[in-house]
Amino acid sequence: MQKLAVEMNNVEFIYPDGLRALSDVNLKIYEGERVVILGPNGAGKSTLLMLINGLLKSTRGNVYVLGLSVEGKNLMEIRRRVGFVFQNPDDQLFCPTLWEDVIFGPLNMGLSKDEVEYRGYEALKAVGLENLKDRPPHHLSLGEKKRAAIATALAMHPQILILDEPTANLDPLGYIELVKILNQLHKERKVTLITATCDINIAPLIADRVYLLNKGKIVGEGLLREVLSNLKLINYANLQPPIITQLFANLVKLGIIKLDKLLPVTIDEAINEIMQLKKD
Amino acid sequence: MIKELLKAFEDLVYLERYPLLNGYLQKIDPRIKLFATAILIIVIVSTLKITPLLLLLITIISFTIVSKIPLKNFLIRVTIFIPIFAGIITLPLPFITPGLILTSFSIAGFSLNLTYEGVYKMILFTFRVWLSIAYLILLILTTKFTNMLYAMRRLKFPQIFIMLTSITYRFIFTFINESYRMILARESRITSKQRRLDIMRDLGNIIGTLFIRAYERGERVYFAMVSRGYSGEIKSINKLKIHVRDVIFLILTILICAVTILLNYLMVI
Ligand SMILES: Nc1ncnc2c1ncn2[C@@H]1O[C@H](COP(=O)(O)OP(=O)(O)OP(=O)(O)O)[C@@H](O)[C@H]1O
Ligand SMILES: [Mg+2]
Repeated sequence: MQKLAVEMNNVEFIYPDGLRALSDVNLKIYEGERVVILGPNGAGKSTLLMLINGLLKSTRGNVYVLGLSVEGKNLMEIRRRVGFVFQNPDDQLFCPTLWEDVIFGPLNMGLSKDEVEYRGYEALKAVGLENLKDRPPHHLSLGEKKRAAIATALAMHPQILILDEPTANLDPLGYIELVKILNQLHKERKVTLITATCDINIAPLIADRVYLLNKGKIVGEGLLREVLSNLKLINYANLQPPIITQLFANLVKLGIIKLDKLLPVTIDEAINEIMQLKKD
Repeated sequence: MIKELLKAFEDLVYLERYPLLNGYLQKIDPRIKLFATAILIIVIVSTLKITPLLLLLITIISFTIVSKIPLKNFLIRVTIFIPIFAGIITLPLPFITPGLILTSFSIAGFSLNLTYEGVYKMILFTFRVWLSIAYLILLILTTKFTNMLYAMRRLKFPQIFIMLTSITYRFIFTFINESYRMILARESRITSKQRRLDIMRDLGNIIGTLFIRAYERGERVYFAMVSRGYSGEIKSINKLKIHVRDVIFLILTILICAVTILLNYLMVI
């Protein structure tokens, strides 16, 4: 039986200025899953993520993380197990050097000096930044900062890794690199990955399951291909389907090809479909 | 204009090249350096004659040279601070100090006497401020920022002070860049000559926005700290050791201080 990593029941969040950022959110994420929260700007993705490690407190409904209710007495334990990578790395990196940033978490966990150093190096190595450990963060490139931000969370050996827009503003190479790092973590350490993004094209690369969020509500949920090939739903969520899906949808509409299955949402799936069509 | 100012400021604070050089002071333990600078400054401000200060001037010039810091640049940099702080304050001194009159003249019915003692006092005061700042800047130029923080921690500076210094250092560049970008963005949309009032208004807006952003960033940074288990206390590991050269440096500094104090008693001026 799979254990729940994150559970939200009828969660609502209203900002102090009265803005309702989330309403009636229900979700279940299991340990070891790769899940993406997909939605347009302002949908409430960042808000939702911050409810998970208790940075914000839901105004109604319950949030559970690894079986613990997200509230006062459990917060320290939850933050120890949940790594959080913020949208803007300049918020995440607040120490004078990269190294100090990376060991900030482990030090707070009260680990021994050796263990702290070991984890620092290990985390920097995982993101390929071990050569830059003494650099001040403001001298790093954006791609490096993003990886550095991930390292600061990794050093705490989290069971759940939460990433807010990890690929925003990255160049294609940085993008591929990041996807590789995340999947490696998932594979080697069985980390549960929860990513929020408005970039639909990255979703298939870093997730198996998706929640669609729009205007503070979950408007769709399911396996990646099921959800992303559902053009109506995607449009309803104020998003655009992946390019490859749009291409196939148009080919079908024009009668150029016939497809009795779901539209492909990744290049690999598209190639498979084409091979299949060639065979028939 | 503002652009140049910001750039200059950035140059001024981007002092991260020198601490990495392989010079004499760079190798000294930061705790010792901080301590030595503190006693040097105490000696400077309590010295009442110019000759002993000359010894400290020669000392700092030697330190600058052996630390591979460009001397001319260093002297200019220190001197920029002087007119602002000391010059204005000491301007009346030559006239209000009683003593041997050098010349006298009258302005608007007041007669002013320029006295020898007054001029001496002014030079002495300015010189002391100049030297204190010089020693401080030399400390900053030769010490990596993290090591400075470490030294402050070991010398039992208050936690909160250290943390604030650290965060200030980290974000000052970010804010400089941010304001720089905002000013550029403003200028790129200006197509005609601006009235002074408009400039002031825009500047006000930019500063206001900066404050709001700073506030919100503060909140997010706090969140980032809390997410990583921060609970009000900054912890650290460090492995700096005191070496022989550190002790030698300290003894040297104390010796120089002693000689200065001695000269202060023995010398007439
Ligand atoms: N501190 C705050 N106070 C008041 N309202 C806020 C605050 N932070 C966010 N909001 C509002 O809450 C809503 C959801 O914001 P949130 O940042 O969660 O969206 P998001 O999906 O992460 O968007 P983006 O893709 O732009 O990051 C938005 O309408 C936003 O304006
Ligand atoms: Mg967001």
